[in-house]
Amino acid sequence: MTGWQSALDPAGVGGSAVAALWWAMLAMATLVLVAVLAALGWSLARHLRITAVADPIAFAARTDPAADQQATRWVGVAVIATTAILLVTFALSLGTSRAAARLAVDGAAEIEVTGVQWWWEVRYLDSLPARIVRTANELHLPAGRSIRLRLRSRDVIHSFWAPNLHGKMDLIPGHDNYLWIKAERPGTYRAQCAEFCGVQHTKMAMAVIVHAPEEYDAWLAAQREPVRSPADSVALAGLRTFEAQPCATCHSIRGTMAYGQAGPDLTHFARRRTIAAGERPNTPAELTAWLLNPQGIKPGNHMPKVPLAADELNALVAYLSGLR
Amino acid sequence: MAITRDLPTSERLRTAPEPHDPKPPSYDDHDELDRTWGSGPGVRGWFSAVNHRVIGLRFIVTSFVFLLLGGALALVMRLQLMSPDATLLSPEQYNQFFTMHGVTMMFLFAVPMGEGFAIYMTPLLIGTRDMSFPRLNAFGYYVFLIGGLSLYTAFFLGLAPDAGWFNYPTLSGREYSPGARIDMYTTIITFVELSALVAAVELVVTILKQRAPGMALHRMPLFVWAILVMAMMILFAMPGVIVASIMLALDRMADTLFYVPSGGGDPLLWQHLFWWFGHPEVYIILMPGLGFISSIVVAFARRPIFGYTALTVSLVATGIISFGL
Ligand code: HEC
Ligand code: HEM
Ligand SMILES: [Cu+2]
Repeated sequence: MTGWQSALDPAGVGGSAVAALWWAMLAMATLVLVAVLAALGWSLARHLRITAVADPIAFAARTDPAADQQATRWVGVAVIATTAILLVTFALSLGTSRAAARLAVDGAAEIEVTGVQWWWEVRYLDSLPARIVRTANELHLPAGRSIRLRLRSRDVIHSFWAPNLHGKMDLIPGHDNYLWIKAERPGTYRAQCAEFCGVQHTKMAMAVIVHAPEEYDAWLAAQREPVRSPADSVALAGLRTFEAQPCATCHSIRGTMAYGQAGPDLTHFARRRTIAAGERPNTPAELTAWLLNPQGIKPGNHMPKVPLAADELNALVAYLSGLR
Repeated sequence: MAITRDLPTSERLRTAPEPHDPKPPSYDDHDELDRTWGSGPGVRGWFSAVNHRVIGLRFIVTSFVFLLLGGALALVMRLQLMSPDATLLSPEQYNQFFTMHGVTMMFLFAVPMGEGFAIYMTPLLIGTRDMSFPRLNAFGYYVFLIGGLSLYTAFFLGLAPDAGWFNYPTLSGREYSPGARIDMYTTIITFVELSALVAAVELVVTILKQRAPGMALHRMPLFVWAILVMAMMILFAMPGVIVASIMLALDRMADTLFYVPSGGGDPLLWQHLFWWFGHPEVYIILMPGLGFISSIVVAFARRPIFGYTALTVSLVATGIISFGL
């Protein structure tokens, strides 16, 4: 029941409320199951007794007001119990929603998560536009602080679901949906798109990293920095290739000529844990494989295979791996 | 009951005897009924059958075949899912398979199967000769059959829908799903749900108007109550998905913007319309099952049902609440 993508291993306020509700419903459902099986066992046993009666048909046809009255009482009990279960579960789920709603606080930081077929754009909003950080496929959260997530979609309906932290919420084109979230236990968790969104829906995930608050602030400050220009000549050649090849029309890297919007922002790409929305670990070997043939790793995704010479490929990998 | 042979049917109906005609029916009348409702010989007769037991059985057999087809698709999906990144199905094919599976199970198996039993059993249980509109009954079956066959024809022609049985826009809109796949979905859904509506109208009329003398509503077998609730639910639920599908078809083919956010439309509209149907749907599927249980337990326990009123009320309440929760 533990795991980085498990609703039963809560690491946040919303997640704890959902897990508590889950356990309560499991307990109630188990009780009901036991009661129904007991009733079944009782009537089977009774049936055996009746078939032992000399004339079962006459026995079945008899009228027995006392027994009927008793049965009526049991029906009453069952009706009351069912209604009670219904009301209790209803109250519990209301309580769960309220626990999540109580997270709302004034002046909380806001993070915008935008679903794009089949990756996530994440923007750390700020009242000063220059301080807004734009990244992709990774969501960083400070432990212990309420955060307001603004959920949007650029194309089709997606759904944000980080089960350890909170329940699901849809990202619907044309709507801004808001989700208050408060992580409590630092660690790395996994979010998965939870609404079928096309051919690579399965491989639309992202890491959710919960930091201690100071660590988070440091991370965010580092993200605001532009990237340093490449130190060695291979990486510099990589930057030139990136700008010369179609890469720059789809990807942006702050401080360079690349400001495409169709694909993930790659500004601090080397700090990210994964490639292609959680699909592969971010290592030079995997990056090479991705650049060689993105369609082999995520068939149908919107990054085309760009023909690259061997030295261009090496240079690109060196450059991207240096984007810290 | 003197029926004048040589007059056309319309005339015969006008000269029909008073209801309190004391004479018992004769064998001649049987022949007459036979000519009107019988199936006639040969292939043509087979296709023109209107008897509720024949139609009911055809619904049951046909939807059972669709269950097998949907099950076969499910088995292939499970094989694909046996190991990560298996290559039995491409991602595109997998999406077609689970969409076909969902559409088959929900639209071509679960509901028609319940309707089949309802059409077969209801007239027998309420003591009437047939459904209220036997020819409409046959029409409903053929609409269902043609819808189902079209879906599988599309599948084998490489035109299977692939946006899930719930088919949410904007994914199912023209921008993200070009081609004819989704058009197959909207057409077939409208078709098959028309058949469900036809069956529902008939069941409601038959149950409310054709019960044997003395069978007041509160003496009706519980199975018939369950079917009545199911039919009423179909009447209210299915128009939702039909309207949603037609609007999507218009979006895709006539440039309307019902679900296109950039044009002021809203994909949420589809979700509301679809689940107005989709949520009651699972209880529409459940109702005949509840009816079966109430009849089977009663028969084998050799006791009249206990708590008839409570059970009836809860069937009706379930039918109503299913639209709201
Ligand atoms: C037509 C637009 C387009 C072009 C051209 C393009 N990409 Fe991409 N790229 C994308 C998209 C879209 C994704 C996201 C794919 C996914 O995960 O579904 C992506 C993903 C990536 C990723 C992984 C990012 C992450 O955080 O997961 C890297 C690295 C990358 N591209 C590098 C490149 C390089 C280098 C080039 C040039 C050789 C290039 N791209 C050309 C659209 C493009
Ligand atoms: C042996 C029996 C069955 C198996 C093995 C099976 C398996 C599956 C699988 C693997 C999926 C796809 C899950 C995914 O990838 O999203 C699925 C979806 C589904 N199944 Fe079944 N299934 C079975 C029976 C049924 C029955 C009897 C019904 C309904 C009466 C049904 C209704 C559905 C629906 C509605 C979906 C969702 C389809 C969609 O998302 O568009 N299934 N099933
Ligand atoms: Cu998705």
